[in-house]
Amino acid sequence: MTTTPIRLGIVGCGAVTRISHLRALAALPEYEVRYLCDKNLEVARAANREFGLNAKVTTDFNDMSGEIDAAIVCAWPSHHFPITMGLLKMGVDVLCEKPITTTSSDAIELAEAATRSQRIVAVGQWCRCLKISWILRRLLSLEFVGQIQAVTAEFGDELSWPMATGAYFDRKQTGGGVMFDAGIHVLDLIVWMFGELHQITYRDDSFGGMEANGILSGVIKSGDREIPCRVAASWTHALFNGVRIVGTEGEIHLRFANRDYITVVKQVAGEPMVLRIGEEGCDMPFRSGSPQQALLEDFAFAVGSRRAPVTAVDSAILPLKILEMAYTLRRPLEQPWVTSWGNQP
Amino acid sequence: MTYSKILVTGATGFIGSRLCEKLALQYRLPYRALVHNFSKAVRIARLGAEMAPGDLNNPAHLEAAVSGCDAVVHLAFGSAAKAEENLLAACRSAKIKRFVHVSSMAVYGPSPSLECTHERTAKIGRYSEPYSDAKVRAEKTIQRAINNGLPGIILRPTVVYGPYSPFVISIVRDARAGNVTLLDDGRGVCNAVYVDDVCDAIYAALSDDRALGQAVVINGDHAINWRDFNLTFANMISPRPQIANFSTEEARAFWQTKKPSFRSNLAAVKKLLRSSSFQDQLETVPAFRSAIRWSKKSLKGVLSADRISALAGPAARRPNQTLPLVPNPGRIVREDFRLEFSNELAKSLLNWTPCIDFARGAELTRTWLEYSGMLGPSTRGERL
Repeated sequence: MTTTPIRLGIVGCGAVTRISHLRALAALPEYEVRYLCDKNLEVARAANREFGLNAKVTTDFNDMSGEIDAAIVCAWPSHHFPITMGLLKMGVDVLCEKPITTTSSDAIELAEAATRSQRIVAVGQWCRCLKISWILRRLLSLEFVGQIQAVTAEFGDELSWPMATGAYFDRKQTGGGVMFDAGIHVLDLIVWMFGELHQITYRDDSFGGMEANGILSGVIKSGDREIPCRVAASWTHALFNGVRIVGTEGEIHLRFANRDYITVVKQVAGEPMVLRIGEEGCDMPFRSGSPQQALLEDFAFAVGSRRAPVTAVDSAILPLKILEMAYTLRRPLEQPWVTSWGNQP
Repeated sequence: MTYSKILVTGATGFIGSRLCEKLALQYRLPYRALVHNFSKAVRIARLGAEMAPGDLNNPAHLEAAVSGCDAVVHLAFGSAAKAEENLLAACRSAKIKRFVHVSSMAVYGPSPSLECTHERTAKIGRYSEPYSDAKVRAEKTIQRAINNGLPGIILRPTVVYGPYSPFVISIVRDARAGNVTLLDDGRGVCNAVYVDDVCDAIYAALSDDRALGQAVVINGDHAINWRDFNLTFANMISPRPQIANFSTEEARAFWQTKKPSFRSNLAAVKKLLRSSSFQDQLETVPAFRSAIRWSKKSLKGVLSADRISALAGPAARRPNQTLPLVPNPGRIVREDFRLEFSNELAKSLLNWTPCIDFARGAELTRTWLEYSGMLGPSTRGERL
């Protein structure tokens, strides 16, 4: 662990940086924010003012060279690859927002560059930094609800993210719609817990634009068994927002809204018993209950100790590959209220 | 008539989003969506729609948005006094060929007289009812421009429903919360028209010249009553909710007692100051942030948990409010309604006829409600 604060630069000072990272950083003495970079200098200045920082501001991340040890990248996903590559060339460790890149081939190239340069690249997949995710992994390893029969993961709500432009809906900037934006979180969690998904099918509600609802189905292989798995994401309405595991002896519910415990419904003497299981006994590499803080805490520890972070770049490649495969297999989601015309003018 | 491009204002709203879907997928006409708040643009983003950022208060935005368009469908409802003037100025510069203004039956006020059943005898005025008066103000501005040569048509849809309808969402949410209420047993007239029929009328107004200069009511073929409208959607919830009835007089008297007073304003300010979301907002200002954090920390140090809970105010301690809740003033205006509007003028001038009756419209709406998880168990997002 470093004894002096990590000199940090942030590239991209939009909503994610202000709502998530800068708020979390305010509680972490491990960091000192030295530089704020945004293509719009006024946005960087505003972030500086809003959080009472005394960071230098710039429009060019190359200006940060030699003045920072690590950087957070919060630009549009299409810029993640060139910026992170540039930062690695400067000898800087990077925490890059999700999705790490817009293609898996770029992610592989980044992972290789990180290995070559002996730098750390972590990805903002905060679901892995929830204590309940670690509890769930432990319960699964203990076969707490018997043999797993089905896995479902959903993440969605009416989109309310503040946005100044329509770039959020530009595939060239973001790489995809809701599956790339929200779906990647739960897909990453499933892959982190279970590994590869096979026999993928995928449906979404796009009519040539960005999907606002997507459903990815596949199969998890466990020995000679095939477990059906479904991952769904929505920008239009609330979903379960968590993971549900159905086992032969009960169900496990992980809800993002309940960050302190997991709910288990287990058959005991023929009767359902509801258990709430908290964190004790779980071996987690971070203390914080806030996933954003935990993510930064883990990154700081990785930077200081030179061990791989929980969300290391190489572990973020498989979810991207699965999503890429899903997009190529796309089928339309049935929406009869959209395509039932009352008449034909 | 053919157009090189149609500008749709209010494109992210309930009718606007559906119009964009039909423009892209059914009518296959080129269009540009004027977007004020991109967070609301999810539905039209699915279509790959061309989106122009725009604020009706900003003449430069509107000029850029109208540029290259030769028709405008104006659905946006802005509180800005000059919204319509700004848009019309941009339309004049672009020499647009057709302007379809989507107004509302609200221009006849909360209690229209019998003359309002037909457009030729109907008059619009001021009613001291904010929504109606705002719609009248906008329509009068458009009508003046039409009188001065704008090739425009005004459509006055009645009670528009369908997927994403705020009316329907509100009924279903209330039903899930166990709060289904009727006014006067739901005897009021509901001039329901399915959203697709309104879009088809807009398409007809773009295509047909006979209605130029006219204001036309767009209504379904058969009015229903508010009991049928409310209960059709409320009863989609399982188990079926309990229904409570209020008389209109009772509901009006209730809201009369809730009119703002000095005391209630003071209470509202106190409530605002205590609310955590307001404090979160204030905390984004560095000077307030440190002050708020210091105050919270100090209070926790010197006060017991009970005392802090008491300071959080009655809202934090109050048990669930007793149901049912009295229908809100907006519902009273809508549902205490006695008049059935004719759609004959629209049929004759626009060569349009509504195609989706209430049973079919409700069924289509149900498929969307199921899809979006709104008919599921009472806890939000439990569906999986």
